[in-house]
Amino acid sequence: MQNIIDDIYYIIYNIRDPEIPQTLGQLDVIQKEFINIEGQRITIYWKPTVKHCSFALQIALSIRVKLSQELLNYKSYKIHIIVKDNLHNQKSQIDKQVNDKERYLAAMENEYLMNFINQLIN
Amino acid sequence: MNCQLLKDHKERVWQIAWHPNGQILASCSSDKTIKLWQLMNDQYKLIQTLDDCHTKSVRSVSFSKDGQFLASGGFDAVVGVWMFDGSKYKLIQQLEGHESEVKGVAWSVDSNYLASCGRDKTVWIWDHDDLEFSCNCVLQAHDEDVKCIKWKDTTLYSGSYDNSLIRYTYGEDDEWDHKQFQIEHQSTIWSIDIFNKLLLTTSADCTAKLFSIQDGTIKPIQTLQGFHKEPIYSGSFSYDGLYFALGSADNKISIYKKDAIDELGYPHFALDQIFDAFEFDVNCVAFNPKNYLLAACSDDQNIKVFDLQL
Repeated sequence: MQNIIDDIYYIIYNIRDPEIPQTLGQLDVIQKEFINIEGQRITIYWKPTVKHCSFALQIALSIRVKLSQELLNYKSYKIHIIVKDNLHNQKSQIDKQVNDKERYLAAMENEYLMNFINQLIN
Repeated sequence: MNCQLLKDHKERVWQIAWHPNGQILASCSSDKTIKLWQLMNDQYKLIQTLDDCHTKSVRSVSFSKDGQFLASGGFDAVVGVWMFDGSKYKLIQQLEGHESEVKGVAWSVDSNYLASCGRDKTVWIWDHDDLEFSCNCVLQAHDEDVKCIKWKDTTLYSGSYDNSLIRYTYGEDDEWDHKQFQIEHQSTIWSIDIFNKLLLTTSADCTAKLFSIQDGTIKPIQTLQGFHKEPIYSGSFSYDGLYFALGSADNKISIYKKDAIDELGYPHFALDQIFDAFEFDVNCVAFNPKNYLLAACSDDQNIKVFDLQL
């Protein structure tokens, strides 16, 4: 279990914040303690730096995209990405959107959006 | 359990649909194609790949009830219409109008209407004068993406990301009227299936619900919960209405059997079996219109046809 958590953490650690010149790991937006595994379900909680962060959806999506590209050894796991506690004004909308498979897969076919996301994850 | 593997798509298979004769299966995929598989000598053979319509994932596919037409909907906002020319299905029209991803397509029972729904919160009704399809009406009644649509005779039902169900009927005033139902799903409604007066919904809240749609009302009969641990993307009644199947993101398929009639005369269903069907998410399940073969498709690029021997 710890191996998977370590792998996930290192994959998403270096995602760049869209506004601050630091990574999600450096900003403690993501932390090892925020990653839960229960059976086949992985839940990654994340902590927006401010409650009104206007890039929250893009950050959540960048976590989703990077894991889909790099967490290849654990493809059968079901990944849920959730705003921790109530740390964003639009938590329920963000959580719903980034965990809706059709929404995030369509986003991944959107060239304009992916150009933006790719700048954060590469 | 006997099972045939249909392998040719290069990416996730989103949906499958049976030809009304029960001999041909259509599948659509993120690889931007639709494939047709025909039963020949007890084996499903790939007979056609339709790759000349969509430029993004093909999300939905549906045969008209007479088998003359095939429709598809894609993330490229296009609805494709194919016609059978005696030997093959040929693209006859690309219907444009949706602003973004098309998520569902469905033919009315008499094949007079084609409905499509999508991310732009709308349902489009298309009709055709001979072979020329055009927009009859655009219905915007949902607050969010419309995920699925299903006809019952000339009444249409839609399910949405806004967790609600809407029924559309063609009124005496020559307008489509609609009525919205909050049916107590806690999240997105991913699929709707109908058998006679029974309506089945499946949801991202990991439950499925059964309703009676008698006499213009929608009465809840039963909630199926605790069987799946992830969103249930699809539900399908068997041809005789004695069973239904659910397919979930937990990689499993569950089968329910008609079990008892309650004091109000409504049928209840009980779990018959649940099994691991694929390595990844089950995106769609579809019972054959003539027998107990169950087709299903998955993120693992495969399609399987299970002989459930019910």
